[in-house]
Amino acid sequence: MKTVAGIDIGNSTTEVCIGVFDDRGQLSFLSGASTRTTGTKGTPDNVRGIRTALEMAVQKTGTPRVYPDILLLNEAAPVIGDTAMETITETIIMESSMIGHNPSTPAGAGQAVGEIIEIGHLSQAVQGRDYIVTVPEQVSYESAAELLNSVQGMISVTGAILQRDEAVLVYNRLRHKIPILDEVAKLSQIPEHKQAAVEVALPGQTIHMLSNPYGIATLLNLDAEETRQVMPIAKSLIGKRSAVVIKTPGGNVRENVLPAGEIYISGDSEQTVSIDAGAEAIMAAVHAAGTVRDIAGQENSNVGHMLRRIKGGMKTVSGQAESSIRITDILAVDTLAPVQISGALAGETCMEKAVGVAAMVKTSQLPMREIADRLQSELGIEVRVAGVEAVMASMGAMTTPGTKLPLAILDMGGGSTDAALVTEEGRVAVTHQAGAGELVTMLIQTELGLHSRITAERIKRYPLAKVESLFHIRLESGEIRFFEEPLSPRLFGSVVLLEPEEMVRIEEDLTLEQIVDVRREAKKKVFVTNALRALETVAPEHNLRRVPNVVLVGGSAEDFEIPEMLLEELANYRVLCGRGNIRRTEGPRNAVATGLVMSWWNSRETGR
Amino acid sequence: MQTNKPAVHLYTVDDTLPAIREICAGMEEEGVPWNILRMDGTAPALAHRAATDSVLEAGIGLTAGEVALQMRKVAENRPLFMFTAPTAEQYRMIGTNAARAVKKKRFRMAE
Repeated sequence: MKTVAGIDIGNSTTEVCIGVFDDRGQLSFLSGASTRTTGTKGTPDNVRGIRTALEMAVQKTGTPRVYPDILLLNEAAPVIGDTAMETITETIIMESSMIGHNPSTPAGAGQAVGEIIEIGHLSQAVQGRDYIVTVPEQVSYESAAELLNSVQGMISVTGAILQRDEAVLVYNRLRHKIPILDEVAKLSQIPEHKQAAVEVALPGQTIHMLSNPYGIATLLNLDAEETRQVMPIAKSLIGKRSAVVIKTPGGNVRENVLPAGEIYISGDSEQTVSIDAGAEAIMAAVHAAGTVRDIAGQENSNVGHMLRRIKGGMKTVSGQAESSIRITDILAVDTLAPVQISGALAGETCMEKAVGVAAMVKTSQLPMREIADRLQSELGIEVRVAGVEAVMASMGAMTTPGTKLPLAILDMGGGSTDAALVTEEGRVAVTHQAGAGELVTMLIQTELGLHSRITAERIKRYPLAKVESLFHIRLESGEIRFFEEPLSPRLFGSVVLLEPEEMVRIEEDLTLEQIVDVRREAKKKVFVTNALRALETVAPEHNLRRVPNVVLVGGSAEDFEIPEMLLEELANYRVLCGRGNIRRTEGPRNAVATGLVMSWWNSRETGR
Repeated sequence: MQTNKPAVHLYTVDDTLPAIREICAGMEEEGVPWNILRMDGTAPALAHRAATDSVLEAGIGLTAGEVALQMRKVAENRPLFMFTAPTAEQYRMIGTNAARAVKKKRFRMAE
């Protein structure tokens, strides 16, 4: 009898599997456990997490508890992934000249043109001119309405902009109805005596004049050159319920193309590609380079900084010279990022083009022996470093019911997507690709303009629902769920995440559909792209159709929708694909740890 | 019998209270109709009764120093919002949120 524990240290989780061999080598599994990895993968900091996971697994072996006689550490693949975002365009407004936002209750409908004047200065207004009045928060809706009614017939007021949320209140009290926009926080920054155009859309519609360059030209009498310049304004006002555009003769709006960095790929052939060429061109260059030796970025560009940073990170971890650390893969993804427009008055954003990049760095070896020695001296149990990660994962994956050799595994983690193909003769092909769960999180965060990365991480992980009343919610699948006790008023009308223990409200003003679209798109862009890339690399003759069946393992295989996306996509190539179920019980987790235990019998004599 | 038009009910011990102006401004800005009725009781009890009577299932209870917002079928002792000695902003917020309860829009929370 010998009790063996397999330990797998991953980018984000540390997993343990305990099994016992009888004297004939018959293996029965006792338990498994998983916890957060402490420190960077492959460093002695990992020991704390390993001990926690080991403790948990031992607890689960039952009574009496079974303690392992030997610990097996996996030879972790020496790869680290990282992500960065490079914005390609930016919109700059010289002199504040635009407000476009969605106050929940503007009033009136239609367009108006006039000279900006503060309500307190109406006495200086002249007859025969049209005015748009600004109303600061000190002025109540009653006095504003009263004042506007009192000048009616003498001074022509065509529209109003309010600081407070009182557009309807003012509108209801006006004898002569005009379009009114409200909730403009930085009202004082609106320049007086400039020509401006106001538009409020009809209920249920969006504005159509100010989101059209020629519409702005019509209202503000612009010439051809000026019309060209308002293009970015029109673009950023698309989809708004109300807007103001102010004509500032000296002012100007530009869309800048930022000096984006270049990427240098050295492989079978040398390739140079500019980030602003977009994801497709970058990935074509990666493909054209063949087997990639190293990738570098232009000095002083975002991508240059990022590639340097991850090399530096690996240098610290491995303690090896920078020359032996190489970036062997990148994944580029096109995205849009809502960036605050400099010079806008109500905190408006513009969707700017951006490219998200994940990179993966590789070194010759991680200092696993150091971890093993530390563990051995702390626990007094023999610790061996054994087995190549991908081979162990394949062995573990084979415990999924319904699998046979040849078999491919797709290990989708946080930092990288790895694939391995094991043939009937036991030959193994392995690849590590940049881009996995963390890139998905980054895309979700940027595209939805979320303040917190944690929210993005949760959106990736949990399905959504809309709280329709205090007693029921509508799930994103359309299903309704009822509650006996009323929900918290905080949740009422909100979009919420269905976390296992509680519902968490999304603070940002986003619809359920918007979030679902972005989430699914991000997962597809990263995991479908990477699954195809990775499987093509390990497939016989790089022909995807010759991959027999694929078992999905790793943290991202637990995702509630990624496995289905991959099944659908790979079905096009007649490839069988599904979420693994390690040891019939563990789901897609624990493959490597399980494989380590399984491999022990045959390698026990060598004592590697 | 009094006709029950679709409206948020505001039940108050005194229909001359100045707070009523602020509360109603909140509802008016959101474009939801209301109906004011004099009645005796505590703010939560009035709000509960108002919500039960309202076709729109939302009610406000107002006394000289307290205001409560309630929706139908929620226990009387658990009003959605309740303020003692409220500020003008809080009165306005009660009105806004009463309307939002009807519109199924998320509530304005205190900043």
